[in-house]
Amino acid sequence: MESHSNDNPSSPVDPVAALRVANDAQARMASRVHSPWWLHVLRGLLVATIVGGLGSGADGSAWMLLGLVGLVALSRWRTRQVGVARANPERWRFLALGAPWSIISFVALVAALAFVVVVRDAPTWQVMTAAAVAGVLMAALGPVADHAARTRLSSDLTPGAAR
Amino acid sequence: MSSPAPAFDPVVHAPQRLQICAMLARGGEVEFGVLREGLDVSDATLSKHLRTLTEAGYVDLRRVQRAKGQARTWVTLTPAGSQALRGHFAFLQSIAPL
Repeated sequence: MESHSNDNPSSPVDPVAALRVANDAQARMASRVHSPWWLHVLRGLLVATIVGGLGSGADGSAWMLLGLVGLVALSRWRTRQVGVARANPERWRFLALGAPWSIISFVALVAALAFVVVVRDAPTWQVMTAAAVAGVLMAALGPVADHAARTRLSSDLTPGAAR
Repeated sequence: MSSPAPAFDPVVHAPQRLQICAMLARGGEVEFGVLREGLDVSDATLSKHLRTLTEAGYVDLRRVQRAKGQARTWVTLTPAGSQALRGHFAFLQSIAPL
């Protein structure tokens, strides 16, 4: 660990070295966006709980609440662990960083929620299928969304570079 | 990100501050500990750089008190900081050998 401060702005400008150290720092930060497997599984289960709870009518409200609270708590815990709040300062930035996988998961969740709301009194197996599909998609696409976020976080910042 | 005018910025140019700004530009809001690990520097060194950047109006600090009494500091790049970084990157790119 360096205890000294390398902050001499009058040092000669080496653009190649400067751009390289900036990219290296981004790469180190990006490597932190890596969640354990169980987090993705738990997130899938919580999403399935929300969809299933919503589709079960009044009886499922407690499950839906449990899923919502769990999902919020899990997201906050993950943000603290990773140390990079991807939702800030741009609220929906986490979707863009994990695109297209995080967007697909989000759309699947919204579609499953819309299905169980629109198709009232749907048979239990249909509600459970919608919940399972949304949950499995969320769990399966989590790691690839993280990989996409790592790629974007470490990408070149220079003007004209790919975003 | 629109193409900014190339402009050398002495505040951003210092290697460790350039790394801080680069991490913030991509990461959004980044925790103090992540920046410290990314730079491999001491708390005091990072604090000094953040103070310089704060005084220039390039970063904002947000302190969050946790239940166990330990506080965490989150750092974001301000619009002025983002503009300065983009201008500095454009400057570096303009003088970089092809």
